[in-house]
Amino acid sequence: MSDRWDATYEELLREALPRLARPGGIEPGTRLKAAGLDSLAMVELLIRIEGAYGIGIPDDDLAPGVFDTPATLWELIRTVREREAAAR
Amino acid sequence: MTTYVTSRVENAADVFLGRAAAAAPDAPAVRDREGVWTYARLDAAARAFAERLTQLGVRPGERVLARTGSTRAFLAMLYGTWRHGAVFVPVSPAMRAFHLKSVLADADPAVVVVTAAERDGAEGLPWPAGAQVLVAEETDFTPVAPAGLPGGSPAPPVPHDRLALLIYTSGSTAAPKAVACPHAPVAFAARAIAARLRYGPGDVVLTAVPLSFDYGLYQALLCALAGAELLLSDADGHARLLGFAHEHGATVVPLVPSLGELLVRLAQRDRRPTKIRMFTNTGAALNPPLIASLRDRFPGARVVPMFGTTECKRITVLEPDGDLARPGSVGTALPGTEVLVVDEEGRPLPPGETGEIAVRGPHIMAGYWNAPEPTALRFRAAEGDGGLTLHTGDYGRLDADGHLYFQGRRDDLFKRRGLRMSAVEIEAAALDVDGVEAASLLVPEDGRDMVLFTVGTLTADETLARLAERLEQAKVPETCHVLPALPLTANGKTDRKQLKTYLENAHDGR
Repeated sequence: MSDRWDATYEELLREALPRLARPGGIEPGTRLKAAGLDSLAMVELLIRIEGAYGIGIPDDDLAPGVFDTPATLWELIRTVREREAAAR
Repeated sequence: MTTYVTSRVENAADVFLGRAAAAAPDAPAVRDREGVWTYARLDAAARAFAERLTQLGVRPGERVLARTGSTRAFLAMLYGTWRHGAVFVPVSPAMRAFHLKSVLADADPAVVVVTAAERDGAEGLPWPAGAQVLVAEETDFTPVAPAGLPGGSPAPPVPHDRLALLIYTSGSTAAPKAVACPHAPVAFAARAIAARLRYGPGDVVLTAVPLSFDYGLYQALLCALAGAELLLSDADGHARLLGFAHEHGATVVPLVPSLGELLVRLAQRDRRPTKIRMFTNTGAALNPPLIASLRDRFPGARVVPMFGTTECKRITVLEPDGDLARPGSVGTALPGTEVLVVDEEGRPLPPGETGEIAVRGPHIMAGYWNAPEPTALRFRAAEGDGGLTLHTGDYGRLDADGHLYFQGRRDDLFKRRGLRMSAVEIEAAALDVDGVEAASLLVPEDGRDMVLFTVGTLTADETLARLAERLEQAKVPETCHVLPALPLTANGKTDRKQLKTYLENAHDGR
């Protein structure tokens, strides 16, 4: 998993979407909505991501599409972390 | 009854948009994620769409079915269809093939308006051969009136029986059926609701409930009556909903429970004060813990519970924060209308007694489309004055001051161990338990006992033990399942079918 994303993110996804918890259930291209990520679960996941990484994701970055797959969401997390690290 | 002279009534396009465009042409009418239209611009766009329907050869009374998102164009299509004289049929983009197939056959549309992604069909279904297909993104809403002239002729009056809307509801029957809504009751209902809710010209009404749902659609009409701004957000924008509310100064937010939960959670990560002054609620009731969280997170907002049914749009509205003095009440009848609680013979019951909720007044719609038998069952001629009484199939009671308390659908009332009870009362008792955030009860059916589903921090056994402190023994379920969240329908109501499927799967697994 570590080549795709870190263990924290993997754990957050598993908590948010129990249906993905079976072996091999999380692939970069898995459709999160089809896996049960409704609006409430989306916001819950967002709050946990922000807490776990100590980041604040601005609304402008929450365009439709960022919650499509584990890969799109991880890309957003990476971008925001890099931006915040550069600003420090 | 034979009518020799067809009386004409105001066109709803004129009641709402025409007047707003004349009174406040430059005021913002509708804003979506892409931009804003003033009332004059929206009026011009509606005229453009009405002309388009004429060019396509659509005749008055024919159906224009729209399956699009909540955008400015939706309003232009709604008012343009009314102006033209055709009937607008909003359909949820979330509707799946099973229902969509029967809706397309039943509505028999002359035109379907769809998104580009569904140009050739939806959910594996082609669009009906007899319908012309318009793609919303490619439809031209360019003004046809000269710039600077909001006028032109007002939308012409329509025959009193001309339908403005067909609104599909999936009730107890297998296939959805449409409530036929003529122009006059739509106008009456919206004006009566406006008189109670009192939106003003400074209001910005954040509508995240879909426009294909009548709760969402009527927000457009209420805004037009007040000269207020309709602020539209689709499900795609839910993660940004609170930021959107901040950015555009939302003051009123219509809520179903799932949206309320969403705002409470979003407020955990964005604690800036908002301008929200009022939350309204209908469709499915906000439970007391959720109302308490909303009050905590949005201290400037008052909560207005309401109750309705598509067959007459709205039945009651409670005064703002009236739940504090009358917990569980959904308010008093709209002005100019009457709400009754009746027994099985249709006779009015005294205050305090539970019976079927019945309604009288000019807001009663014209029955179900293409369905005389269900219409005769619900829309009954009253003795004497020839008026109609709508029998809602919902059960409740009135207090001495005319405040209504909803207790459940006919299907939600049942007898267990010789005692009469309702799903709503058991759910309410569960919600009264600290640590229970949501609750839904499946009533006994086909030999299965009732089953409670909850969301919260307590285990099933803990929940049932606390419930036993609150209810008679017969009303305490044997079985409780604790879920991460309750499944929801597209309109934000608890999806009981999914709960039943969950139970079936749980049993198969054993």
